[in-house]
Amino acid sequence: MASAYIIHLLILICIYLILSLSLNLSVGYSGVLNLGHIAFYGLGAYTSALMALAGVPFLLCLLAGGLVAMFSGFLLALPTDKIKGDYLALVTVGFSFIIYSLMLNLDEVTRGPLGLPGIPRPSIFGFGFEDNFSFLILIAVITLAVYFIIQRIADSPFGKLLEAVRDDELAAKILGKDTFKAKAFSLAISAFFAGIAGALYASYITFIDPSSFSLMQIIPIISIVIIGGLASLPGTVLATIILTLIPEALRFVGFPSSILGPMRQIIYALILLLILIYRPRGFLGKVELE
Amino acid sequence: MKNDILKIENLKKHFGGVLAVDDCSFGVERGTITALIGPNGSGKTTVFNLISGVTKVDSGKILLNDLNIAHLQPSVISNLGISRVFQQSRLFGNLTVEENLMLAFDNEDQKFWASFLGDWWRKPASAKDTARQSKKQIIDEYLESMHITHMRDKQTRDLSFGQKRLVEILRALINPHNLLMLDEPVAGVTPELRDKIKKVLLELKAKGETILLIEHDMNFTLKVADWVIVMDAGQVIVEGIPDEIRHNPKVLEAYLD
Repeated sequence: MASAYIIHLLILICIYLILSLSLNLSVGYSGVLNLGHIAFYGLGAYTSALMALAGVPFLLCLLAGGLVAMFSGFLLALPTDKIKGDYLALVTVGFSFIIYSLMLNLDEVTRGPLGLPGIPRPSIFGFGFEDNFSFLILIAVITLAVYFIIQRIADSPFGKLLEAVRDDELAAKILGKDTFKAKAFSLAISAFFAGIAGALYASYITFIDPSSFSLMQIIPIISIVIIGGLASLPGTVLATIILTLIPEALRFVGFPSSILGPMRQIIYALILLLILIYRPRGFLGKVELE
Repeated sequence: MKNDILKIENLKKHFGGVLAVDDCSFGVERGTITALIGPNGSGKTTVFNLISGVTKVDSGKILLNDLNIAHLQPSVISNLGISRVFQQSRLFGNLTVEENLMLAFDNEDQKFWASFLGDWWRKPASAKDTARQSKKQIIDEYLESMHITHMRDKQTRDLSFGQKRLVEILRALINPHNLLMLDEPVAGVTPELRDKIKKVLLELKAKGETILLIEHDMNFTLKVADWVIVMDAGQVIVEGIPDEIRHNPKVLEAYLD
């Protein structure tokens, strides 16, 4: 029983890891304050769930979930050429609302608030991932791959270009860089992985409804990115583990489940405040925004 | 007929009711150092911003090698051969000196897949690595010539004002260009550094570089410049060789106002 709980926690950590690592690519590396990440997550979840329910093989569902999110990430990148900073953050919030209300109101496709039950567990070339342990192995492998891909992007000359755009977009333009293309690429890649995380979540829980993808859900993920440190992948990993486990610890000190939810939010807020005051660059971050 | 690399013709720019640049025309001759001087608010930096595409032109022409660049994007103008240093530091503060300079060489870093795959599918001694090595070598040489080699791996936000200035000038130098524009390169730097920058500029000119600079320090300007253009209230009031400018009553009047 205890091990089942631990496996569940590890799977959750993996999903959060994919989400926060990919968010760090757009927020930490390219400096686009992207609060629409949860919408990409939801798009990936719904796309893959609908396809899986229609009998499409898992790997295709996973890929489609990523690609649909990626395409919408590219769409969201379109205004980044004209709109900057806080205003852009508002646009991404608006985007998140739009996707959320589509999930809620496109009853015929998404079944609205009733959600989509009975999503099949992953199966790859006949090998089913029915039990949680095998699912954990699958998602751990994918999470590792995501980590190395994002690390590779970050370390490449393209990654340095993203950081240049974050630090001073005009200066990057004056060096002849197409900063819009760089930001669009990073948002699209970041969205792709969020979509993958959504697809994995849907096939793990086997049920999704819009409430998992409301704007509020961005709070833990953006907190992880800031607390771990902008543009620091190890920091993101550390913060993901800590921020996922702390609220869980509350269960064992006897808090009633009715206040567990609010307590979680309070803890995130507290850690975020403390970090911003005492360690503005996050656990392992080197980046300071002006 | 002068051999002008850059020609400004009847350039105009309004900001609300203020006419910042008013029918401004001048040329920058190839292989010379041209200085743009004038009192505060005379429109020098606005002219720089218009040339580099940072600010949109109201009317008039900016001809770079006879191509009108007046309505192009800053990145396009940069790729056509204009390199610029701003008045305030615009280094990528969280990147190191080397990374800042590395970004200036070319736009290869914009190619996502080539950048992502890199040497995974190439042998270590591939052309790409050699190119990277030679870039590093060029950076090392530049840093050494400025005596700031020890700064290479420092994040540029930790540099002093003068060091930032040097790195910015280097970055603009490395960025491929036909025309180098410097906005107050020696403002606020120590006398030693000023002499160093002066030496660098004169060496660059000897190598055939064309430089357009804005500078308030008259001594510095009149020593390095071959041609001086004086602006006041958005217009060119006088231009000529430094010796003429030094004693021109119009210039004295503009500065004493």
